Amino acid sequence: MAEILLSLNDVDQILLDLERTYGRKTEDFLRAESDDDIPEDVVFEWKAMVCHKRALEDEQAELHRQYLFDLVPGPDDDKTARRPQELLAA
Amino acid sequence: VAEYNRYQRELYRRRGELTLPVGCLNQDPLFKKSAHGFWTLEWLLVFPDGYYVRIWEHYNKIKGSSSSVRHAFSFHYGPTEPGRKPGAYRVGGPVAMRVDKPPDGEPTHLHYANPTQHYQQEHVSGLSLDLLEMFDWLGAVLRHREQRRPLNEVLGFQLKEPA
Repeated sequence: MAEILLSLNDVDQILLDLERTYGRKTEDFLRAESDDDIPEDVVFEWKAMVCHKRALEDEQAELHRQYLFDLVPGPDDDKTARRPQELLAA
Repeated sequence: VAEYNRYQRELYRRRGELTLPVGCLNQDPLFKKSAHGFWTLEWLLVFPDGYYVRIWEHYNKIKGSSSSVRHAFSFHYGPTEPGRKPGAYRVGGPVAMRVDKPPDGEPTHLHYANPTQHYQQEHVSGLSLDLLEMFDWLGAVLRHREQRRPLNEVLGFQLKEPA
């Protein structure tokens, strides 16, 4: 079975390679009305990679939120320190 | 609607049941998986006469659910273009049939024999493009090759030329 587990770094690298190959930023590629000069399979793969990137970023943000909520202040912790909810809001 | 492990198991099970012609190169499907519920599949089959099938699907997780939904797909069948590798098709390259559901939400469309002609669903009767399943389609391609019947006849669809 061939399976690749993509990390955010992997996806960023793939997007960077695509940007270099086709000479445009991903944002410009997504905004363009026509992408006729790019092979159709590449167009699909590029847009799928953007989906992967957004999903990984959301997952990472959710993990970070969970981490902050799980932080329990110890007895010696500075009582003036910001609470997780405050950190999240920051 | 799908779940990654079940999708993978089912794909391997049905792939194992296929009767492929002698000399057909059946590549190991490639799964690219990222966050939970997000994956892309790429699978290539190359026939001895140079025609090839490329199956590509992308799944996104449904928000608030543990399941995923097919967000985009491309099922391509056609000859390998001289000087290019099988599976590397391009806009305007030769195609026997390709069904595309683009990842940007554009409607699913069909290319049939003519690479630049896009048939939207309203120009195709007898086949629901959006709901096309990979093994139904692949089975039709195999029957088309074996029985030498036109693909539209095997799949039971008719085309209406756009005005």
